[in-house]
Amino acid sequence: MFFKKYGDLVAGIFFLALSFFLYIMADALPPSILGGIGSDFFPKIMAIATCILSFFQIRSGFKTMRSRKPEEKEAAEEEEYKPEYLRVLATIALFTIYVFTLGPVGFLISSTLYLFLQIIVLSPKDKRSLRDIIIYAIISIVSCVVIYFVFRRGLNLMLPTGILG
Amino acid sequence: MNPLSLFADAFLGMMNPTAILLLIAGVAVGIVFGSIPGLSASMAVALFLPVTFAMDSHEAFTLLVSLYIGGISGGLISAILINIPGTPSSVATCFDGHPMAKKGQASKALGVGVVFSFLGGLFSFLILMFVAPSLAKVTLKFSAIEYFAVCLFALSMIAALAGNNMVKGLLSGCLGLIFSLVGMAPIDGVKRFTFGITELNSGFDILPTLIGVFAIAEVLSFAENVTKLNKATHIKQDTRIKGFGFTWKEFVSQKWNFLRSAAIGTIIGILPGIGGSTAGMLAYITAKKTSKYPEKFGTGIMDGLVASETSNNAVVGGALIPLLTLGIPGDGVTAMLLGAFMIHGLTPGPLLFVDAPDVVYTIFVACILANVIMLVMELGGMRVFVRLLNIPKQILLPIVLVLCTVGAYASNNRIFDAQSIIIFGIMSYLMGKVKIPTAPFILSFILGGLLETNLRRGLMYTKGSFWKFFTHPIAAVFIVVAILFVAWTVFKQIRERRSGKANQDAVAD
Repeated sequence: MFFKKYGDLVAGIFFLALSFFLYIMADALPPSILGGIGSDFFPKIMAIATCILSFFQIRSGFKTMRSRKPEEKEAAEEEEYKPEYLRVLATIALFTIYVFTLGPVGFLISSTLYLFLQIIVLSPKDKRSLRDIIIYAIISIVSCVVIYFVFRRGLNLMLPTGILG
Repeated sequence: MNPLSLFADAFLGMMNPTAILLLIAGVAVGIVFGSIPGLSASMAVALFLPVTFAMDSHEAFTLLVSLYIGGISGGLISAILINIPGTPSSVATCFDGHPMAKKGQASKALGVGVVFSFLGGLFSFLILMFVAPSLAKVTLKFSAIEYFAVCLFALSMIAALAGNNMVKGLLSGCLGLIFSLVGMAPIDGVKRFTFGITELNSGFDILPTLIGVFAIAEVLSFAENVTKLNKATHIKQDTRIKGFGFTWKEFVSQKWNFLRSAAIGTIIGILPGIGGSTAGMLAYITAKKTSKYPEKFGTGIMDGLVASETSNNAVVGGALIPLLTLGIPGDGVTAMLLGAFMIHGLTPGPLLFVDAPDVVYTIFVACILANVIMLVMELGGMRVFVRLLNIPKQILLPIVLVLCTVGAYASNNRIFDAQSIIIFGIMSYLMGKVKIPTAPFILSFILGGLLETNLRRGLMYTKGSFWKFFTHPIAAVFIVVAILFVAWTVFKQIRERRSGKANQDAVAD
């Protein structure tokens, strides 16, 4: 509901803020040493264009906000299939931890753990029995080992070895 | 060397076990990615980019082109059988394909879809082979000024056509251009918006950006709907195709529909930023409008299926034309291929035809051969692909994500690239939530650098006068068309709003 009602407005305000920020940052850039337009020219044009567009976006944002009355039919539909934001947030958190541990811990350990946890996060409730979880664990280990050896031996690409190396 | 001998050389070069294996594997994996909703041709190419690092450029492009062709055509399988387009390109295939399957004509629908996919692809590859080399001779003479004008034209089309709301399309384009600013500025190398992060000096890399936008965002929106999607139906359909599934008379009756749809697809492919889904829809609507029996469309007739599948495959050949002759990608997959050229030390554009004609002709031959393999594989092995539709996505998507991360890391051996995926992933997920299209973002992110470099080079050449750009006829035409195009779109939107047909967003919901 939040996105449908306020999404346009929030996006407009975001772009407006971005354009101001961009202009200020661009203004601080050193002038061109070669003459002609400098490195600040293009960012400034972009800032101005974004600023103008964001006004239109904000205007239509107010429109959607006003026109979007909680309709009963829609509300009923939303009740049945609520967007599962918990899974989304968990995915973002897991992936963030994964890419930051990839270097220090190494590919094999971090990827296997990430893969296992990510599969569980994305599994519907009826597919989380003990048997399923064991299968997920095996899939995670096997696929990461295969990926590692294919890239390392087959394609001669370096993957972070981390604490195992 | 003349084109014919180049073609023959490329063909002979392809007649070895490795190349044939790559073709077959590429097409098969492409079809799988195309047929599974949520995995797209762009993801297939992104996934296999790192695998091509160790190959020579011929092998690499053979594989990538096969993935592209398989990926686009694979979408028809799930569109016909479960009424969910496997790729956005096959949205219009659902309209008549699924009703046919419901009437018990699944095998006929699949046969028609596969054969016309093949023919549509073939049509566009022939156009590509005849047009691209001569076009490259023209674009070879382009200076910075013409390049700037063409980029500007491409950007205006992308932003105006990508969504159904022009303001959102343009904002998405602006965001892409803003991200392309990060790093050292062209010409004088001033560091911009790096916030003191050394890794940002060279800007954001294309591959992590694409992976973030396509893969992470897809996983996040899957996460949002896990319970809902869990209830998706399993397929029990007769998928054996006998012969082609249709008669010669039926085939001949589609000839004008075929030619028109193939032309629509190829032209849409050439124009940047529009892509397969629009081509399919446009061809479908045109076929319906010109049909003697428009009321039958949507009830499961061949015509609609032919229009959609011919045109979305014809997009492939068209999309390769601006990529090869100008170095300008028109959609997600060609953007990815642009990255592949760079990884292999090649710069797509007119010089490619002079420096590496062998690679260009390898791509041509690979297109045609992959197309043939696609035909054989889909006619013969349909049941195998159908079974793959039942692989649980909660397992598939995380594995794809790990592979993508490896790819992003391996392209430069920098952890930073893997980390930057997350920024683009979250951003593109949020853009989807507020219905801002991501295609303009991607394409203007790629074109941003070209646009600025060529603008500044051009201005140095004309000693700072922008008006002198108009003394170059080709540039003048493109700039004027770009301006007219945006003006026309604005005018059209205002008129639609006045006549009450506005609020297209509400309709699209």
